Amino acid sequence: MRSPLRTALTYVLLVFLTVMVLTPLFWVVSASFKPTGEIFSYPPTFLPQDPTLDNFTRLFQEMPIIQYIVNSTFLATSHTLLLLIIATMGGFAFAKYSFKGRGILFAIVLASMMIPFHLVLVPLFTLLYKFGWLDTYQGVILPYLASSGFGVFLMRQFILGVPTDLIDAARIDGSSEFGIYWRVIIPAVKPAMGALSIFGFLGAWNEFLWPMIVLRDADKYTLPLGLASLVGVYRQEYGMLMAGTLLSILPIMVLFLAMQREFVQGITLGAVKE
Amino acid sequence: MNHLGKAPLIFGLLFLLAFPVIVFRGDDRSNTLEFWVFHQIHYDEYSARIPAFEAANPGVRIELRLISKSHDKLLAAFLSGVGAPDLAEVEISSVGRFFKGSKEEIGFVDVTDRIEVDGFRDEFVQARLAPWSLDGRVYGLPHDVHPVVLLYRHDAYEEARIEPESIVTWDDFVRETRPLARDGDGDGRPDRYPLLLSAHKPGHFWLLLLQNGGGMFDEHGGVIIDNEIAVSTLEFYCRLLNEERLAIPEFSQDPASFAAMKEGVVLGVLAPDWYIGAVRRFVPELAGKWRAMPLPAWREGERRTSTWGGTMIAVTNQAENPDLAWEFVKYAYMDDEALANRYRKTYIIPPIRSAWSNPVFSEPDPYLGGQFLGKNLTELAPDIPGFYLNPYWAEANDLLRQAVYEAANGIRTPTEALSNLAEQVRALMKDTPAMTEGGALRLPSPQIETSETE
Amino acid sequence: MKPRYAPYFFLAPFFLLFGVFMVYPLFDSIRLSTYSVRGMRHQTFVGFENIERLLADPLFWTALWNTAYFALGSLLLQLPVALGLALLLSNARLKGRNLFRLSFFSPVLISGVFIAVIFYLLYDRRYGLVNKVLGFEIPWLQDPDLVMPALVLAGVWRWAGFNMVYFLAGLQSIRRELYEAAAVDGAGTWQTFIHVTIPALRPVIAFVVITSMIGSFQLFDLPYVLTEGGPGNASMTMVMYLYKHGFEFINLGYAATIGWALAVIIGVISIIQVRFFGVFREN
Repeated sequence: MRSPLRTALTYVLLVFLTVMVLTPLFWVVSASFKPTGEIFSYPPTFLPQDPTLDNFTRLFQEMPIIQYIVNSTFLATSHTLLLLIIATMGGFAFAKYSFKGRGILFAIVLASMMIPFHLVLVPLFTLLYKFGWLDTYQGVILPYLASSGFGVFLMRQFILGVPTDLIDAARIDGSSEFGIYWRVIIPAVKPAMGALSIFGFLGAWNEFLWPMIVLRDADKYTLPLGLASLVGVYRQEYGMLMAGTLLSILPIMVLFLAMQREFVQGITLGAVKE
Repeated sequence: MNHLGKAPLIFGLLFLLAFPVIVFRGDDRSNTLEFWVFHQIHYDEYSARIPAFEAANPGVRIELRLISKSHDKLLAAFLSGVGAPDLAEVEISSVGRFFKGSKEEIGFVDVTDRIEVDGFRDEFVQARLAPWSLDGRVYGLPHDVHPVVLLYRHDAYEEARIEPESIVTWDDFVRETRPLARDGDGDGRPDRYPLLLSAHKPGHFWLLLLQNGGGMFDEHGGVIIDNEIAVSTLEFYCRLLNEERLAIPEFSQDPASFAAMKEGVVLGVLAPDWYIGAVRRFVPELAGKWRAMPLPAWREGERRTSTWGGTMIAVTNQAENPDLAWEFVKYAYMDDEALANRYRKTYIIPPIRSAWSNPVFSEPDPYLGGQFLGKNLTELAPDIPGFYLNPYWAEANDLLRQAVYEAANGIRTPTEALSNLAEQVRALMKDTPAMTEGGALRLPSPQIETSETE
Repeated sequence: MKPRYAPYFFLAPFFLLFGVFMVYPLFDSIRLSTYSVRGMRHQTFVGFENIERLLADPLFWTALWNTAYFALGSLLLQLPVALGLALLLSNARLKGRNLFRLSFFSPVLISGVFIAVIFYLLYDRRYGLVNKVLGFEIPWLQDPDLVMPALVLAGVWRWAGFNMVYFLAGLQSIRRELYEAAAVDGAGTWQTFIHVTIPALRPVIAFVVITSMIGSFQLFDLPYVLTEGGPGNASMTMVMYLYKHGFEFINLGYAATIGWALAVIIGVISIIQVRFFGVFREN
């Protein structure tokens, strides 16, 4: 069906685009092995002329980078697990039940995606104080979950695709509503959960502004918070920042590779139904 | 559990791995002072010195925190009335945000009386208490003076046979350095520039304006940014950039400008003490080639320095033990030996005059080819201009950025840009009079000393 | 548990969180938008004055224009690129598909703040990689006419691979018979694309358009770190403007007004899009 020429062209185009996309990343890798002076040199260099591990050793010496990674992991995983529960339950309700107030409740879910988070920053901060939750991880995670109707929306789209016959059959067999959720819906959407968990994990792992406002103790900092102090008005440690960026991508890269099959399969199966 | 799929399992496992580390972390917060800093160098300096303070004050613990966006966080804490540390350092360009509204709303403790009681007010360079003072009341102590010099390439000057001593005024600078800005490759643009000025940020313009005796507000809170001084300063600024082409506009204090120095495109910079430290760190290749000279004056016999940047320390009104916090402020900011060490690392000149007698300030500096930099800087330090802050500072400063950009890029003439700016600030002050309750920020003492030569 | 109550039970976690953490802040921000809040606690009721001021504020319109520029630019550039990538990768016999897919997806793995720093280095007029490759010293971040295109391009780089994944999924779920039928009818590649692929992808396109529109309108970290809204105000976005008034000028009332204006704009655009695509019609 396809001519060899066309296939060749496809490859050329793909390789070209891959180069375009990967060049900035390659540049991060390259810069993280350059001494700071060389990051800004003329003409710019692709490969470090004078490769050094200095940026990495200083990163490990000058900041508790391992602690940051553990913190980020804790924060991102708890966010992800809670997101999975909230989103699958909520999505199930919207997709497979008709009930009073469904329209308005679903509108609220959608609206929660549209509210700029900055709008509620200060009142939310005050609220957290009243709960005594400043400088705590629950203070970072829970409000953020409340503002992301995205997960519920996404899971609703997926669960719409689960045949209603299955649910009816389970109901006839005497299954409870929760049993339907647990034994019919969850297995049917587990690839989709893979996709959602990647989104959730990525979002929480990379989030900057809200944890920055809530967390105070440097021991509780996440990776982006810790690394952000490297570049500022009086400080330009671009080499260390690039090294840190590289370190922050690696774990998620591995995670993504491990879950890639589920991830794509998940999105494919649901295929965002009308 | 198999029917759950891989995702919950993987994330669950990771969660279980991280959980114990997070939960079983020891935490004792009794009798502690929390102190927020925004800069790594400050953090390193204080963390090295805190153990000695803790040893001298048994039972006291200082919790030092390096927070990159500490100003935003501090503001959130003040706005909601909770969650502030006991002590905080604030950068001068952000300080205006904290002095809005009436006196009672300021989040910092008024330390004027403490300074009087301890009797060291006169030891400070007076202009340096001004940026954190309101109506004669002082709310913070300065970390630095930040006098500005002109850092220039000695080798290039020699090659072009320019005598640095012949540059006394800015007009001299224009006349003398013109040969440096030559166009060797004939592309219609000079390949080298005697100066670096930003066409997008107001920093350079602001320090030149201060040097020239101008400012944004006068001591009564009136807007003076459209006066004769401001207009002529901005006109000269634009002339250097556009007509004379003696200043290159591309870089500000970004690392790109360090690269341009290394490359020899930039032969001179307006450099406060801390910036010389940055140049030394990022352009080590040029060791021995730089020299510093006092800024050219606007008119002969006038001020030959200015100031750029700065930090203060303040006790917040959420501090449980302000007395203890104040003790730490003095310990962190007023120890002569520590201040000398700071100079060695960063070139930062302390705002306390008695500290300048330390031998370190009279040593020749190898990076500047053996020049007595410390001596030069401390001689200029008492002469830095003060300026009057005001509750509208944050907005005015933002509008200033726009005005400098417009003038430097030929969108408006300097006169138009500044009168437009002044008009907007005046309109803002008229529309929101509630803000003026606190009045203008004043210098604690009206006079600014003239330079003392030793 | 009776089926009648079941949906409420399942919705409880989300709405519990929403009720606890969002309802009060949202109402408080509505209240704030009718006040002039200067200084830490100084509040004066001003009614609709903030809205009047907003409508007469040229910078608000600049910010709105810039934000809309970015959103539209993303829509017109990023989505075709994303769809194109998906089409290229949809051939099951293509070797190295996973590798390509991972490559295109990888920019999403980086935190927005760092993306901004990376592009700050890449776009540098003299020392940046972009100009090195192009061979000109183009002032990407200094020229008011180039700064928004530069942001749009950075946005394409970051999000195209992400949206590609949705399109890829959509393409794989198109039934083979549709293509076979088109082939029998003698339709060419282009006709098949227009008459089979695009209609079948409609739900995915709707989803991607709506979510990326919402995201684009909330653009913040990229210009905040990359350009600080400059040169001048040429890359000031709505959320940056909100942030400036809230956190730099301490004018919380006006900031809340800007935030609500933005929420309303996003809401209206989303509703129009939802209607246009007919997303929530019942199956």
